[in-house]
Amino acid sequence: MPVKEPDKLRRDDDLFYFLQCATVATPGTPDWGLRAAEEAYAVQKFAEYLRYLEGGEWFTLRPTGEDHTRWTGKVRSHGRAWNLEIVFKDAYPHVPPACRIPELMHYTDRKLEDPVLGLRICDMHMESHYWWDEYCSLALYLKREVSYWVEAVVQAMDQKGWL
Amino acid sequence: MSDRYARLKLFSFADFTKLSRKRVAVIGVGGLGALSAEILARCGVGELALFDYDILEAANLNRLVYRPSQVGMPKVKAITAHLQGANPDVAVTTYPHDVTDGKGFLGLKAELRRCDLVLGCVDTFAVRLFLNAQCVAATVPLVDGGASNDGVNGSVHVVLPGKTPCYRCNRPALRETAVDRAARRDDSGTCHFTSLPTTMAVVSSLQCQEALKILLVFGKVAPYILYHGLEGTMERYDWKRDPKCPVCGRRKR
Repeated sequence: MPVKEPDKLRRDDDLFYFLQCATVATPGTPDWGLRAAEEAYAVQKFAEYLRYLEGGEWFTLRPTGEDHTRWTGKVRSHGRAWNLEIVFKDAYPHVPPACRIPELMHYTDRKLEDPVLGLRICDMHMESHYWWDEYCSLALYLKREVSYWVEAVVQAMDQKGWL
Repeated sequence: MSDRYARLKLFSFADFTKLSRKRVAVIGVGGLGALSAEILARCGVGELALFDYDILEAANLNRLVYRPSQVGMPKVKAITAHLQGANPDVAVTTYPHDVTDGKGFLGLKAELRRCDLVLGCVDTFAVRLFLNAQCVAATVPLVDGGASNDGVNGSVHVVLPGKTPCYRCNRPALRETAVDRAARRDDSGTCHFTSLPTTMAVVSSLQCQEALKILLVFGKVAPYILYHGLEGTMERYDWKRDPKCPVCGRRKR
Protein backbone atom coordinates (compact mmCIF):
# COMPACT_ATOMS: atom_id res chain seq x y z
CA MET A 1 0.00 0.00 0.00
CA PRO A 2 1.46 3.40 -0.90
CA VAL A 3 1.84 5.75 2.02
CA LYS A 4 -0.69 8.57 1.81
CA GLU A 5 0.92 11.97 1.94
CA PRO A 6 -0.40 14.02 4.83
CA ASP A 7 -2.42 17.01 3.80
CA LYS A 8 -0.17 19.46 5.59
CA LEU A 9 3.54 18.81 5.36
CA ARG A 10 5.99 20.72 7.46
CA ARG A 11 8.66 22.16 5.22
CA ASP A 12 11.76 24.24 5.65
CA ASP A 13 9.60 27.35 5.22
CA ASP A 14 8.19 26.71 8.69
CA LEU A 15 11.51 27.83 10.13
CA PHE A 16 11.36 31.24 8.52
CA TYR A 17 9.88 33.14 11.42
CA PHE A 18 12.52 35.83 11.01
CA LEU A 19 10.95 36.73 7.66
CA GLN A 20 7.84 38.07 9.35
CA CYS A 21 7.10 41.70 10.21
CA ALA A 22 5.68 42.81 13.55
CA THR A 23 4.05 46.05 12.39
CA VAL A 24 0.93 46.07 10.25
CA ALA A 25 0.75 49.41 8.46
CA THR A 26 -0.19 50.50 4.95
CA PRO A 27 1.90 52.99 2.92
CA GLY A 28 1.20 56.57 3.87
CA THR A 29 0.10 55.80 7.44
CA PRO A 30 2.17 56.96 10.45
CA ASP A 31 3.57 53.47 11.18
CA TRP A 32 4.66 52.79 7.59
CA GLY A 33 8.21 53.89 8.41
CA LEU A 34 8.45 51.07 10.97
CA ARG A 35 7.01 48.55 8.56
CA ALA A 36 9.35 49.68 5.76
CA ALA A 37 12.33 49.25 8.09
CA GLU A 38 11.14 45.75 9.04
CA GLU A 39 10.78 44.85 5.36
CA ALA A 40 14.33 46.00 4.65
CA TYR A 41 15.63 44.10 7.68
CA ALA A 42 13.87 40.89 6.58
CA VAL A 43 15.31 41.15 3.05
CA GLN A 44 18.78 41.72 4.52
CA LYS A 45 18.42 38.72 6.86
CA PHE A 46 17.19 36.53 4.02
CA ALA A 47 20.20 37.52 1.89
CA GLU A 48 22.50 36.74 4.83
CA TYR A 49 20.84 33.36 5.26
CA LEU A 50 21.29 32.52 1.58
CA ARG A 51 24.95 33.62 1.63
CA TYR A 52 25.62 31.52 4.74
CA LEU A 53 23.75 28.35 3.80
CA GLU A 54 23.64 28.36 0.02
CA GLY A 55 26.84 30.22 -0.79
CA GLY A 56 25.16 33.28 -2.31
CA GLU A 57 21.85 34.98 -2.81
CA TRP A 58 19.93 34.69 -6.07
CA PHE A 59 18.62 38.24 -5.99
CA THR A 60 19.74 41.81 -5.48
CA LEU A 61 17.04 44.17 -4.36
CA ARG A 62 16.93 47.68 -2.96
CA PRO A 63 14.12 50.11 -2.20
CA THR A 64 13.64 53.07 -4.50
CA GLY A 65 11.53 56.13 -3.85
CA GLU A 66 11.03 58.02 -0.61
CA ASP A 67 8.37 55.81 0.93
CA HIS A 68 10.06 52.51 0.01
CA THR A 69 7.00 51.19 -1.81
CA ARG A 70 8.95 50.22 -4.92
CA TRP A 71 11.91 47.85 -4.96
CA THR A 72 14.13 47.22 -7.96
CA GLY A 73 17.01 44.86 -8.58
CA LYS A 74 18.08 41.69 -10.32
CA VAL A 75 17.10 38.06 -10.06
CA ARG A 76 19.67 35.41 -11.07
CA SER A 77 19.28 31.86 -12.33
CA HIS A 78 21.27 29.55 -14.63
CA GLY A 79 24.15 32.04 -14.74
CA ARG A 80 21.98 34.85 -16.10
CA ALA A 81 20.35 37.87 -14.48
CA TRP A 82 17.03 39.58 -15.16
CA ASN A 83 15.54 42.85 -13.94
CA LEU A 84 13.12 42.54 -11.04
CA GLU A 85 10.59 45.10 -9.84
CA ILE A 86 8.33 44.82 -6.79
CA VAL A 87 5.56 47.27 -5.92
CA PHE A 88 3.64 47.64 -2.67
CA LYS A 89 0.17 48.94 -3.43
CA ASP A 90 -1.72 51.17 -1.01
CA ALA A 91 -3.54 48.17 0.46
CA TYR A 92 -0.24 46.37 1.23
CA PRO A 93 0.27 44.33 3.46
CA HIS A 94 -3.39 43.28 3.34
CA VAL A 95 -2.75 42.16 -0.25
CA PRO A 96 0.52 40.61 -1.51
CA PRO A 97 3.02 42.73 -3.47
CA ALA A 98 2.96 42.99 -7.28
CA CYS A 99 6.02 41.67 -9.09
CA ARG A 100 7.45 42.22 -12.57
CA ILE A 101 10.34 40.43 -14.28
CA PRO A 102 9.90 41.96 -17.76
CA GLU A 103 12.50 39.96 -19.67
CA LEU A 104 11.32 36.59 -18.38
CA MET A 105 7.71 37.57 -18.91
CA HIS A 106 8.53 38.19 -22.54
CA TYR A 107 8.86 34.43 -22.99
CA THR A 108 5.79 33.29 -21.08
CA ASP A 109 2.04 33.78 -21.03
CA ARG A 110 2.06 33.71 -17.25
CA LYS A 111 1.34 37.36 -16.77
CA LEU A 112 -1.61 39.51 -15.75
CA GLU A 113 -2.72 43.06 -16.48
CA ASP A 114 -2.03 45.37 -13.58
CA PRO A 115 -3.81 48.71 -13.37
CA VAL A 116 -1.33 50.21 -10.91
CA LEU A 117 1.84 49.56 -12.85
CA GLY A 118 0.01 50.09 -16.13
CA LEU A 119 1.90 47.03 -17.33
CA ARG A 120 1.76 43.30 -17.06
CA ILE A 121 2.84 41.60 -13.84
CA CYS A 122 3.97 38.06 -13.10
CA ASP A 123 1.06 35.73 -12.47
CA MET A 124 1.94 34.54 -9.00
CA HIS A 125 -1.54 34.41 -7.59
CA MET A 126 -1.89 31.84 -4.84
CA GLU A 127 -5.60 31.24 -5.10
CA SER A 128 -5.50 27.49 -4.49
CA HIS A 129 -3.22 27.63 -1.48
CA TYR A 130 -3.46 31.10 -0.12
CA TRP A 131 -0.76 31.63 2.45
CA TRP A 132 -0.25 35.39 2.61
CA ASP A 133 -1.16 37.37 5.73
CA GLU A 134 -0.39 40.90 6.82
CA TYR A 135 2.64 39.82 8.87
CA CYS A 136 4.41 38.34 5.84
CA SER A 137 7.33 40.29 4.46
CA LEU A 138 8.67 40.89 1.00
CA ALA A 139 11.47 38.45 1.86
CA LEU A 140 8.99 35.63 2.49
CA TYR A 141 7.28 36.48 -0.79
CA LEU A 142 10.63 36.27 -2.57
CA LYS A 143 11.29 32.90 -0.99
CA ARG A 144 7.90 31.32 -1.52
CA GLU A 145 6.69 32.83 -4.78
CA VAL A 146 9.38 34.66 -6.79
CA SER A 147 12.05 31.95 -6.50
CA TYR A 148 9.55 29.33 -7.55
CA TRP A 149 8.18 31.41 -10.44
CA VAL A 150 11.66 32.12 -11.81
CA GLU A 151 12.67 28.48 -11.45
CA ALA A 152 9.53 27.26 -13.24
CA VAL A 153 9.81 29.77 -16.10
CA VAL A 154 13.56 29.27 -16.59
CA GLN A 155 13.07 25.51 -16.62
CA ALA A 156 10.36 25.84 -19.27
CA MET A 157 12.60 28.13 -21.36
CA ASP A 158 15.50 25.70 -21.00
CA GLN A 159 13.35 22.82 -22.23
CA LYS A 160 12.40 24.82 -25.32
CA GLY A 161 16.08 25.54 -25.99
CA TRP A 162 15.76 29.28 -25.44
CA LEU A 163 18.58 29.45 -22.90
CA MET B 1 -42.08 56.43 -6.55
CA SER B 2 -43.39 55.86 -10.04
CA ASP B 3 -45.45 52.91 -11.26
CA ARG B 4 -42.42 50.83 -12.10
CA TYR B 5 -42.37 49.82 -8.44
CA ALA B 6 -46.06 48.84 -8.24
CA ARG B 7 -45.31 45.14 -7.76
CA LEU B 8 -42.65 45.85 -5.17
CA LYS B 9 -45.12 47.92 -3.16
CA LEU B 10 -47.20 44.77 -2.76
CA PHE B 11 -44.35 43.08 -0.87
CA SER B 12 -45.70 42.62 2.66
CA PHE B 13 -42.47 41.94 4.60
CA ALA B 14 -40.74 45.29 4.02
CA ASP B 15 -41.24 48.76 2.64
CA PHE B 16 -39.37 48.94 -0.67
CA THR B 17 -39.74 52.72 -0.86
CA LYS B 18 -37.00 52.93 1.79
CA LEU B 19 -34.57 51.46 -0.73
CA SER B 20 -34.39 54.79 -2.58
CA ARG B 21 -32.51 56.25 0.42
CA LYS B 22 -29.85 53.53 0.41
CA ARG B 23 -26.38 53.60 -1.12
CA VAL B 24 -24.66 50.35 -2.11
CA ALA B 25 -21.05 49.90 -3.23
CA VAL B 26 -20.47 47.07 -5.73
CA ILE B 27 -16.85 45.95 -5.90
CA GLY B 28 -16.25 44.28 -9.25
CA VAL B 29 -18.80 44.40 -12.08
CA GLY B 30 -17.93 41.21 -13.94
CA GLY B 31 -20.22 38.22 -14.36
CA LEU B 32 -21.58 38.50 -10.82
CA GLY B 33 -21.36 42.20 -9.96
CA ALA B 34 -23.05 43.37 -13.15
CA LEU B 35 -26.06 41.17 -12.47
CA SER B 36 -26.27 42.17 -8.82
CA ALA B 37 -26.03 45.85 -9.72
CA GLU B 38 -28.85 45.42 -12.23
CA ILE B 39 -31.11 43.63 -9.72
CA LEU B 40 -30.55 46.35 -7.11
CA ALA B 41 -31.10 49.09 -9.69
CA ARG B 42 -34.36 47.55 -10.84
CA CYS B 43 -35.46 47.20 -7.20
CA GLY B 44 -34.99 50.97 -6.85
CA VAL B 45 -31.87 51.39 -4.74
CA GLY B 46 -31.06 55.10 -4.50
CA GLU B 47 -27.34 55.18 -5.28
CA LEU B 48 -24.83 52.69 -6.58
CA ALA B 49 -21.04 53.06 -6.43
CA LEU B 50 -19.35 50.74 -8.90
CA PHE B 51 -15.68 49.73 -8.71
CA ASP B 52 -13.83 47.88 -11.49
CA TYR B 53 -10.62 48.70 -13.35
CA ASP B 54 -11.15 46.08 -16.01
CA ILE B 55 -11.87 46.57 -19.70
CA LEU B 56 -14.69 44.59 -21.29
CA GLU B 57 -13.40 41.67 -23.40
CA ALA B 58 -15.17 39.30 -25.77
CA ALA B 59 -14.68 36.51 -23.20
CA ASN B 60 -16.97 38.42 -20.80
CA LEU B 61 -19.91 38.32 -23.19
CA ASN B 62 -21.07 34.83 -22.20
CA ARG B 63 -22.39 36.42 -19.02
CA LEU B 64 -25.51 38.55 -19.07
CA VAL B 65 -25.81 42.34 -19.31
CA TYR B 66 -22.90 43.23 -21.65
CA ARG B 67 -23.15 43.60 -25.44
CA PRO B 68 -20.58 43.00 -28.24
CA SER B 69 -20.64 46.69 -29.19
CA GLN B 70 -19.27 47.52 -25.72
CA VAL B 71 -16.09 45.44 -26.05
CA GLY B 72 -13.07 47.62 -25.29
CA MET B 73 -14.99 49.94 -22.93
CA PRO B 74 -14.24 50.07 -19.20
CA LYS B 75 -16.71 47.71 -17.51
CA VAL B 76 -18.04 50.40 -15.17
CA LYS B 77 -18.86 52.66 -18.14
CA ALA B 78 -20.61 49.89 -20.03
CA ILE B 79 -22.70 48.88 -17.01
CA THR B 80 -23.58 52.48 -16.15
CA ALA B 81 -25.25 53.00 -19.52
CA HIS B 82 -27.13 49.73 -19.03
CA LEU B 83 -28.28 50.58 -15.48
CA GLN B 84 -29.44 54.06 -16.40
CA GLY B 85 -31.40 52.56 -19.27
CA ALA B 86 -32.95 50.01 -16.89
CA ASN B 87 -33.83 52.54 -14.20
CA PRO B 88 -33.10 56.27 -14.61
CA ASP B 89 -33.97 56.86 -10.91
CA VAL B 90 -30.68 55.31 -9.79
CA ALA B 91 -27.66 57.57 -9.29
CA VAL B 92 -24.51 55.72 -10.35
CA THR B 93 -20.98 56.70 -9.29
CA THR B 94 -18.18 54.88 -11.08
CA TYR B 95 -14.60 54.18 -10.03
CA PRO B 96 -12.61 52.66 -12.92
CA HIS B 97 -9.74 51.95 -10.54
CA ASP B 98 -8.20 49.13 -8.50
CA VAL B 99 -9.62 49.17 -4.93
CA THR B 100 -6.26 48.11 -3.53
CA ASP B 101 -4.35 51.15 -4.74
CA GLY B 102 -4.42 54.89 -5.49
CA LYS B 103 -7.73 56.45 -6.48
CA GLY B 104 -9.63 53.18 -6.06
CA PHE B 105 -8.31 52.72 -2.51
CA LEU B 106 -9.22 56.31 -1.59
CA GLY B 107 -12.59 55.89 -3.29
CA LEU B 108 -13.31 52.76 -1.29
CA LYS B 109 -12.39 54.51 1.97
CA ALA B 110 -14.73 57.38 1.08
CA GLU B 111 -17.55 55.03 0.08
CA LEU B 112 -17.24 53.02 3.30
CA ARG B 113 -18.05 56.21 5.21
CA ARG B 114 -21.30 56.85 3.34
CA CYS B 115 -22.61 53.59 1.89
CA ASP B 116 -25.06 51.29 3.68
CA LEU B 117 -23.76 48.02 2.30
CA VAL B 118 -20.93 46.58 0.20
CA LEU B 119 -21.41 43.83 -2.37
CA GLY B 120 -18.16 41.90 -2.88
CA CYS B 121 -18.06 40.50 -6.41
CA VAL B 122 -14.31 40.07 -6.86
CA ASP B 123 -12.36 37.12 -8.21
CA THR B 124 -9.34 36.87 -5.91
CA PHE B 125 -9.00 35.63 -2.37
CA ALA B 126 -6.59 38.43 -1.44
CA VAL B 127 -9.06 41.17 -2.36
CA ARG B 128 -11.90 39.32 -0.57
CA LEU B 129 -9.87 39.30 2.64
CA PHE B 130 -8.96 42.94 2.11
CA LEU B 131 -12.60 43.97 1.62
CA ASN B 132 -13.59 41.95 4.67
CA ALA B 133 -11.00 43.74 6.83
CA GLN B 134 -12.05 47.16 5.50
CA CYS B 135 -15.77 46.52 6.02
CA VAL B 136 -15.28 45.13 9.54
CA ALA B 137 -13.15 48.16 10.47
CA ALA B 138 -15.76 50.55 9.06
CA THR B 139 -18.69 48.46 10.46
CA VAL B 140 -20.36 48.30 7.06
CA PRO B 141 -22.18 45.06 6.13
CA LEU B 142 -20.49 43.02 3.40
CA VAL B 143 -22.25 40.48 1.21
CA ASP B 144 -19.62 38.53 -0.67
CA GLY B 145 -20.50 36.25 -3.56
CA GLY B 146 -18.40 33.88 -5.59
CA ALA B 147 -18.38 30.81 -7.80
CA SER B 148 -16.05 27.81 -7.79
CA ASN B 149 -13.25 27.45 -10.36
CA ASP B 150 -15.27 24.87 -12.30
CA GLY B 151 -18.21 27.27 -12.49
CA VAL B 152 -20.90 24.94 -11.08
CA ASN B 153 -20.89 25.79 -7.36
CA GLY B 154 -21.38 29.12 -5.70
CA SER B 155 -21.45 30.70 -2.29
CA VAL B 156 -22.69 33.83 -0.56
CA HIS B 157 -21.08 35.01 2.65
CA VAL B 158 -22.74 37.72 4.72
CA VAL B 159 -20.60 39.69 7.15
CA LEU B 160 -22.46 41.85 9.65
CA PRO B 161 -19.53 43.32 11.61
CA GLY B 162 -19.75 42.41 15.27
CA LYS B 163 -22.73 40.11 14.73
CA THR B 164 -21.93 37.36 12.25
CA PRO B 165 -18.59 35.62 11.54
CA CYS B 166 -16.38 37.62 9.22
CA TYR B 167 -14.86 36.18 6.05
CA ARG B 168 -11.75 35.18 7.96
CA CYS B 169 -13.44 33.59 11.01
CA ASN B 170 -13.11 29.83 11.34
CA ARG B 171 -11.69 29.45 7.85
CA PRO B 172 -9.50 26.35 8.30
CA ALA B 173 -7.00 27.40 5.63
CA LEU B 174 -6.32 30.65 7.48
CA ARG B 175 -6.35 29.44 11.05
CA GLU B 176 -2.58 29.41 11.39
CA THR B 177 -0.13 32.19 10.78
CA ALA B 178 1.44 32.34 7.32
CA VAL B 179 4.80 30.86 8.27
CA ASP B 180 3.06 27.84 9.80
CA ARG B 181 1.15 27.16 6.62
CA ALA B 182 2.57 24.67 4.16
CA ALA B 183 4.01 26.49 1.16
CA ARG B 184 2.23 24.61 -1.59
CA ARG B 185 2.39 26.58 -4.80
CA ASP B 186 -0.06 26.84 -7.61
CA ASP B 187 1.95 26.70 -10.82
CA SER B 188 -0.97 26.24 -13.16
CA GLY B 189 -0.17 29.50 -14.93
CA THR B 190 -2.45 32.34 -15.89
CA CYS B 191 -5.80 32.09 -14.23
CA HIS B 192 -8.82 31.48 -16.44
CA PHE B 193 -11.71 30.13 -14.43
CA THR B 194 -14.92 28.76 -15.88
CA SER B 195 -17.83 31.15 -15.63
CA LEU B 196 -21.38 29.90 -16.18
CA PRO B 197 -24.10 32.55 -16.52
CA THR B 198 -26.56 30.21 -14.80
CA THR B 199 -24.44 29.84 -11.65
CA MET B 200 -23.68 33.55 -11.67
CA ALA B 201 -27.40 34.36 -11.86
CA VAL B 202 -28.17 32.04 -8.91
CA VAL B 203 -25.35 33.49 -6.77
CA SER B 204 -26.26 37.03 -7.76
CA SER B 205 -29.92 36.47 -6.79
CA LEU B 206 -28.93 34.99 -3.43
CA GLN B 207 -26.50 37.84 -2.84
CA CYS B 208 -29.13 40.50 -3.60
CA GLN B 209 -31.75 38.72 -1.50
CA GLU B 210 -29.45 38.87 1.53
CA ALA B 211 -28.55 42.47 0.72
CA LEU B 212 -32.23 43.46 0.60
CA LYS B 213 -32.85 41.70 3.95
CA ILE B 214 -30.10 43.80 5.52
CA LEU B 215 -31.07 47.07 3.86
CA LEU B 216 -34.81 46.78 4.54
CA VAL B 217 -34.56 44.79 7.78
CA PHE B 218 -36.75 41.78 7.14
CA GLY B 219 -36.37 38.01 7.31
CA LYS B 220 -33.44 36.11 8.76
CA VAL B 221 -30.03 36.83 7.31
CA ALA B 222 -28.14 33.66 6.29
CA PRO B 223 -24.45 34.01 7.26
CA TYR B 224 -23.29 31.53 4.62
CA ILE B 225 -25.12 29.87 1.76
CA LEU B 226 -23.57 27.21 -0.46
CA TYR B 227 -25.09 26.36 -3.84
CA HIS B 228 -24.19 23.01 -5.44
CA GLY B 229 -25.05 23.28 -9.12
CA LEU B 230 -24.51 19.65 -10.09
CA GLU B 231 -26.71 18.28 -7.30
CA GLY B 232 -29.15 21.16 -7.41
CA THR B 233 -28.94 21.65 -3.65
CA MET B 234 -28.44 24.60 -1.37
CA GLU B 235 -27.07 24.61 2.17
CA ARG B 236 -27.15 27.23 4.88
CA TYR B 237 -24.42 27.34 7.52
CA ASP B 238 -24.66 29.08 10.85
CA TRP B 239 -21.30 29.07 12.53
CA LYS B 240 -19.93 31.00 15.45
CA ARG B 241 -17.53 33.90 15.40
CA ASP B 242 -13.91 33.16 16.19
CA PRO B 243 -12.98 35.15 19.32
CA LYS B 244 -9.35 35.01 18.21
CA CYS B 245 -10.02 36.12 14.64
CA PRO B 246 -7.31 38.65 13.65
CA VAL B 247 -9.91 40.79 11.88
CA CYS B 248 -13.01 40.79 14.08
CA GLY B 249 -12.03 38.90 17.27
CA ARG B 250 -11.74 40.59 20.64
CA ARG B 251 -9.10 38.31 22.08
CA LYS B 252 -5.47 38.38 21.06
CA ARG B 253 -4.12 35.44 19.07
